[in-house]
Amino acid sequence: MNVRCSNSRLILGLLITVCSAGLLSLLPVPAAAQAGQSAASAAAAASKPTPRTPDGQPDLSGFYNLVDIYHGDPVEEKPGQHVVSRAENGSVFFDYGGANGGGGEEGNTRIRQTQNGKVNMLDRTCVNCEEPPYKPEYMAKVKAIGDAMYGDASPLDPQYDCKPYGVPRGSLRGAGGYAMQIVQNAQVIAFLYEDRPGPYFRIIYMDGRGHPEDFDPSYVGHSIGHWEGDTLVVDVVGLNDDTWLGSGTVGPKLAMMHSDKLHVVERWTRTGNVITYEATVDDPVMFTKPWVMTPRQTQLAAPDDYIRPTMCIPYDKTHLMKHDNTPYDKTAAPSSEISEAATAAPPANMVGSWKVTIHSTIEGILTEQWTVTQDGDKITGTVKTKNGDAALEGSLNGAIFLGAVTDGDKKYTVRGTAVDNDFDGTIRMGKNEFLLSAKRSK
Amino acid sequence: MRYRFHAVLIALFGVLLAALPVLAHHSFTAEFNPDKEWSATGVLTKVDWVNPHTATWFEVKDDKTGQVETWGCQGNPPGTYSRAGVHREDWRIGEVVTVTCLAAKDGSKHWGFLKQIKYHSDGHVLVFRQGGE
Repeated sequence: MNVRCSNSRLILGLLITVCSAGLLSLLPVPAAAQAGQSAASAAAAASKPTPRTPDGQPDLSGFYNLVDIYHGDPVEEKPGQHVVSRAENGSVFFDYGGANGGGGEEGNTRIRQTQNGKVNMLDRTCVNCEEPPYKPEYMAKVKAIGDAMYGDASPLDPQYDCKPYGVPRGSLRGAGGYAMQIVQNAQVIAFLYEDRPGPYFRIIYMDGRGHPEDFDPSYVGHSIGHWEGDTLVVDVVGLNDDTWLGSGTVGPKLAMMHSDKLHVVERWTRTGNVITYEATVDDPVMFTKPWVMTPRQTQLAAPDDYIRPTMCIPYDKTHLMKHDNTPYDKTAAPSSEISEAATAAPPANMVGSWKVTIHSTIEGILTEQWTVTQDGDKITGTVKTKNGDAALEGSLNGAIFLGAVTDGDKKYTVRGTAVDNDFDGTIRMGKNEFLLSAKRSK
Repeated sequence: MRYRFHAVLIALFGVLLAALPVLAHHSFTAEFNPDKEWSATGVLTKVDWVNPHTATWFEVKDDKTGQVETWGCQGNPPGTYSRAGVHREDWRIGEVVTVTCLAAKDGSKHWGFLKQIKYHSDGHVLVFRQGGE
């Protein structure tokens, strides 16, 4: 079931019921909810007829991507889904459902779910679900890198140099649901990746040739394919050792370095609009045995979606911190200094009467009046709404306000920036966060 | 209820407060402090519509020294913005803006994660919820 909920108040209750039913239907495959793809919609996509080429083989051609994540539901705000609202005055709020796509309880739940190995077909990250069979000396190295990582980021990860993901990481990424175009004819099948280090591509030769003997290693190697029934089987060699196998939201956390003796056998099977990816990865230098990866699935993108090739600039690498918030480069300034330096401005003046507009994606426009008093960086005030009074409290750090409207036992967090007679930011109401704009009466 | 919200949403509030980001996607919490923000006013000079993350650049005049410095803030990937409905033309190059960003953890004074752009000419804002990939 692919439930889309509108923001009409009149049918809000009904829709919450329907959305809840939709969530319940996702329970057997919670990872699908994380990826914004429902099990039912994946099943529906798989039940469509598999396209065929004139010579009778499955036609993999098409654009594959996450389906629902980019146009999230403004009421439900499922984790990881995006909701963009535009106010009538042209202001824009880019919301990110669930506070953070991979964060908090949702993220922890997702990891637990993937640890048991039952659900990761649609889980694009599969953070801890498996580890490659590294020899002990290499397992010690990847664990040391993993231990230092904050979340899933390490400056040792080649993606932070904008290097292509390679194989199998790029396949996992594409088959994990990220943007991937497949173009197929009888001689070659081309995979075109719009991805974080992208764009890049790889070619599978289908004309019966073998691997060249004098091939220089590259990021995507040399791929030859053939059909076994309805499955495309691809043999990949000639990969350089300048990619990782996974990790960094792409695959299992401990799937990192490999040698240039890597040998990957991939199996791509299209069923309706769904592709299942399986791979066996062998590295005779670093592995004790071949690594049989957990399968992934992806499905055709929404009809109006299309590939957006965008070049990569590695801004992140030099700013990444270790999990204990220490820098990889010990010469960098401690974080306490930067915070002081960057926020040393005196508090803004917020004293006065403010007309406040909240752009609720559920209830529409809400207006209220704030009367604000200020003592240094401390802000207090009264909030008049059409339903009664509430209290405002918070503090200013330069022009940045963080506080809350308290209404009985309910607290609504407000974050924003004061600029002269304008105050703009967001208010969190329940699970939703909305654009808030205020103007001071002159 | 003065803010009239469905009871189920209210009930979820406390749960969600406890569920603020612990492990974030990608490099977000490896680079930025979700509890520390800065803001600065200057002229919007450039948006890099690039992977893995967009970058917003603006020039700020230091009142003490008179020198103009370039400040930058990372944002979400261009494909994410574009598919969600936030477009490059929403960055109005050349306008006077006040930019609010989450502070970088590593000591970079002029680097952050984009939270808000306020256009002084007409008061419009672009507001971004923190986090995500």
